[in-house]
Amino acid sequence: MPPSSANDEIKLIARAKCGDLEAFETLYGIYKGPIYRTGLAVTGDHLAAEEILQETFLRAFKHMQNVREGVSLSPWLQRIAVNLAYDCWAARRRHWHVDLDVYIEQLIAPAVASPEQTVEDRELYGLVYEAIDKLGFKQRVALVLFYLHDFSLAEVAEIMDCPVGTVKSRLHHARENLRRELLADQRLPQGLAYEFT
Amino acid sequence: MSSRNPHPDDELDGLIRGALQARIGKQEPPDRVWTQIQLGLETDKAPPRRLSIPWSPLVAQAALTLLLVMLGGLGLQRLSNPGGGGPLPGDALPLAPTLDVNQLIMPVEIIGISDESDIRLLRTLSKPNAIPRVETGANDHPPLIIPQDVPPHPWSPEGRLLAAEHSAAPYAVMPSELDSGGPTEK
Repeated sequence: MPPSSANDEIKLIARAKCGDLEAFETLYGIYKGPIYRTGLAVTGDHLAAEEILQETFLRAFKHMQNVREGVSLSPWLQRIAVNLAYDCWAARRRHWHVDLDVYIEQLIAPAVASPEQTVEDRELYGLVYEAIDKLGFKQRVALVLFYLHDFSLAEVAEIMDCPVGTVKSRLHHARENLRRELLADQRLPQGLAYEFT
Repeated sequence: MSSRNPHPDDELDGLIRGALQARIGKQEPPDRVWTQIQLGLETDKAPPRRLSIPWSPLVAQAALTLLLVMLGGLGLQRLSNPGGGGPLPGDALPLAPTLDVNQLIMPVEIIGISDESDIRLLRTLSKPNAIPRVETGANDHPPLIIPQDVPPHPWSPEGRLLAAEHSAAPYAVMPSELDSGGPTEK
């Protein structure tokens, strides 16, 4: 259950600092979803996302004393989760494999997709997500924090420990890479591809 | 256009937002994660373990020690029963493989030592109050010959007195050197 106000969260943090496990559980209930989704969006793996969530809150409880008075817990937790997610993401990239069926399907696909072969709108998100999946770690994290969690540029900068200008640059390059990737994807409807140019 | 978005809110923005929401937006973690966190918190509260050695080497070490003890016990049993290695004849039953404490005290047989330096060495290594004893040993070996003037143990009172006499010589020059005209300069 989310706290009714920022004051409620501050009180919960103060209680958790004193070792109140009930207050900590309430904080977990508030933030478990966003943290889990960050781990899932970055790693693409449910088990890895669970481990990231678990480790994030274990570390948070251990270092609860470091939380400043009167600030939201969200950016701090997200920062821990992003740092943890990097290891999983890097390990996943080391063992990167291509789905053979998808690869063969791409090879034998005709040069220009016919209207019958165009994807439905709901499948379009799948193609975009595939393109997001090919982004580098920092661009991917910036996209997830900005578009999924709706953090401001300043908050993304705080979480990623970089200047706001760097966040803008990462978002810009992420969009450019996605645009290029989607334009090259022949499964995309021609009309929609035109919108990207 | 969003006031928080540095880019114009075009079709791509909507696709990115929609793709992330469709794939990730409704995902929730399973309840077991909180259970695991609780277990982790309880572990953190527990007093630190004194052993920093990982369990696997410890178990391996214990297994190796047990194996060595078992092999040692078998070896001792074989020594105490030299002819018992093969199958037992007739209806004889094998002895239970128990380890007798007396088997650990192995008899040491010293054969054929007659040199005085060896006797001195053995005397030094033995206890100060040990009494020299002549044993004949096995039948196929000649009896030990121990000289009558066995030197006292260096830690015994007699031995210490003898050592003091030798170390604190009252002479700057040995009498034999006086006889031969004194020490020669090198």
